Amino acid sequence: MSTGQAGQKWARHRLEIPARVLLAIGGGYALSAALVLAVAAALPPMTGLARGEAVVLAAMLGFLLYLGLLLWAFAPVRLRRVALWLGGVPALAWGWILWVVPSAFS
Amino acid sequence: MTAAWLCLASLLAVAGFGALALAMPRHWNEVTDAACDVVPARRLLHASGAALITVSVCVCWWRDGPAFGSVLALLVATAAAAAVAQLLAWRPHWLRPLLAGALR
Amino acid sequence: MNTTFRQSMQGLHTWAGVLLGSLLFVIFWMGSLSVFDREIDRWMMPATRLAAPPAALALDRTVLPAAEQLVGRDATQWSVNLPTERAPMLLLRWREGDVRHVHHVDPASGAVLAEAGTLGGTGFIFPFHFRLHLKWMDLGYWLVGLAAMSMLVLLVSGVVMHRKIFREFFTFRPAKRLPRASLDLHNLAGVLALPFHFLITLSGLLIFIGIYFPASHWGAYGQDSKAKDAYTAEANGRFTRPKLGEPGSLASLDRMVAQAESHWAGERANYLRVWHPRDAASYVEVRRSYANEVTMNVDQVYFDAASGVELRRFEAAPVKNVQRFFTGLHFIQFDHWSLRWLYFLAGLSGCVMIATGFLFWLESRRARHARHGLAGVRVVQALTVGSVTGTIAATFAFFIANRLLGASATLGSWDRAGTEMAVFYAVWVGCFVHAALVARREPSLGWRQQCMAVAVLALVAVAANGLTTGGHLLNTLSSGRPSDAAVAGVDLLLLVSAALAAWTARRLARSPSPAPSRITPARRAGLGELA
Repeated sequence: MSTGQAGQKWARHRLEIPARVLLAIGGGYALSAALVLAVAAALPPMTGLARGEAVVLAAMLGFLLYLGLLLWAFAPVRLRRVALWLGGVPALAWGWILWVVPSAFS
Repeated sequence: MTAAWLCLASLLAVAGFGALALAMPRHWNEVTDAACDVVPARRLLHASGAALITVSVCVCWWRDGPAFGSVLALLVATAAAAAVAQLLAWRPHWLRPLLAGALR
Repeated sequence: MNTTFRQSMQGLHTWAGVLLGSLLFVIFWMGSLSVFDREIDRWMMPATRLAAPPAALALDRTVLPAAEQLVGRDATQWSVNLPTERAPMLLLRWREGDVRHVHHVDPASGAVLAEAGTLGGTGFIFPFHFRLHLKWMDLGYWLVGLAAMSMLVLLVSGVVMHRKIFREFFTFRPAKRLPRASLDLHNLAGVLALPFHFLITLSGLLIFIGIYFPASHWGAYGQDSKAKDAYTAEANGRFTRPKLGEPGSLASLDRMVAQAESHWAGERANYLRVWHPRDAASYVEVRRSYANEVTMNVDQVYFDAASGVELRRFEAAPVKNVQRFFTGLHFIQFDHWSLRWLYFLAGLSGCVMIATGFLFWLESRRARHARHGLAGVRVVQALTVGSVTGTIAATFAFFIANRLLGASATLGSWDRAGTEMAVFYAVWVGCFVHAALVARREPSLGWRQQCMAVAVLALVAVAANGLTTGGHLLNTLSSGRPSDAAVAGVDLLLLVSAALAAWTARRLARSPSPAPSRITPARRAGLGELA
């Protein structure tokens, strides 16, 4: 078996690779963006860092987090786990950000 | 004057990476036309290579300060390593002068 | 799950490379050229090949009259970029609705120069690099962002899958067959310049934290537009005040610049912007030069336009400064010629890394795809040749169009600037078509023919510059003016490109891929080992 066929052995069915691609690129981005938002909100009260600074810091780290998530999505991890962390969790997070948070403040 | 410092940093980096390359049997054999599996004076080559590269970095810091100097050192190191690789590919015998230090 | 992490990273590296390599090559090529975008401007805009700017600028004498005369009543702001050694003219810009106006003013005499009639390096090549000239819904920004994240993934996965990364650190065997030689060069270009590739890609992303994480301030500031304004004001220093709707005057710009510079301990200003021109609430923004540090500062001073009274001073806070340090690492707007050249070479090494990656993939899969009747290699070959040599050929055709088309040339509704762009895209598409047509024949034919085309185009460009502007190498090398040195630099790099392209064409002609019958099972396993 040549190493060039690693993709076929690792993917259980034909839709697994497109699924991972979507979860990695879309879900990974959504999770990273949600965490950036959360970290930027949490840092000022926790550390006394100015709000503007916290946002910049969180956004910079967000790219590194996204990189990690992209690599993880294609690692030998079961598709189920990838779908949970890069599908379910970001969906919940953004649902909370977009609907729960604004209504809590209005 | 700053051109001279840059030349010095570049030459030090080339010499340093050259020494590190020579410590590998494949490249030692290419440069000396020998056929050994373990390079004599391997430790010395590693140590002097690291030292030469460190001095090159310090020259960059001296020339341009910490910020510019670090960026310069990084790129000079890249260019120097690339030069050593090309020399080993096309003209390995040109690295023989580095051996003068290694052999004694 | 019986695949190792290394194997999965290898599969990821191969797929990401094949799918995004073309886009990445274009970004790296345009980025490398953007290192010298001001020099390309001097080459493409002969009217701006001025003498070095005077040390003492008289903005009230040179800029104010031009702005008063030219800036339309509907403009909400107009700005001036102060001259530098690399761009020795005053750049006067404003926008009326959707139309952007640009004028060059001689800093010594105040004369408004003839319209450039071209986007040049700063207007076409540089924006191509970060947004691909795709403005619809910011698609260009997002594609470049995707490519940049893929580049980071490619770099990490490349390191993970490279088993002999230290042993083969200096290994380059050009005499070997094409798959081995190109893999060696791919590894060399990737590993030796790894810190550069990683930093340049990450820093490129960090520039655009506002675009790529647009909701990043929602948690700390809120989600409405007032929250966005508050964040922009606190982090980036933006000062705003509304128009009054009554006429107002503009006090001395020179005095405002002098006062701003007095806060900056000897550093000069490089940019001014007049907000709400001709209004009573008009104010002037002055920004500090990037020349002497890596960090691309956001120091700003705001003045009331009518009275010249200072309204606000801003300097970035520490974390913002870190982001601007990375921004400066990427933009390289500082004065440092050896670094500029090293960045250019490192960027080109990225282009070599991408091109050799493709070459290796093509050559190591060619036999297998031919045997199984797969179209993959032919398709990727056509796309690769079009995006590598095709992009270079299109760029040189762009330069030639700039020199050979008259300043008032039009093509349909396009002015000369638009026509130059049309030439670029036409040649680019043509190269893809040529590559597709030729893909069925001998594998290296497309590469060789386009390499020769690149060489010819480069030489024609140099000749066109000499003939149409008189700024040929004999003149520009002896003139001593920085703008002439810039033109000479572009001409010399074009000549070097011609030589390299011709040499590559000959090298590719001398090493055909092995014929399918010569790949024994043992050899095939060996080639598989290489990947």
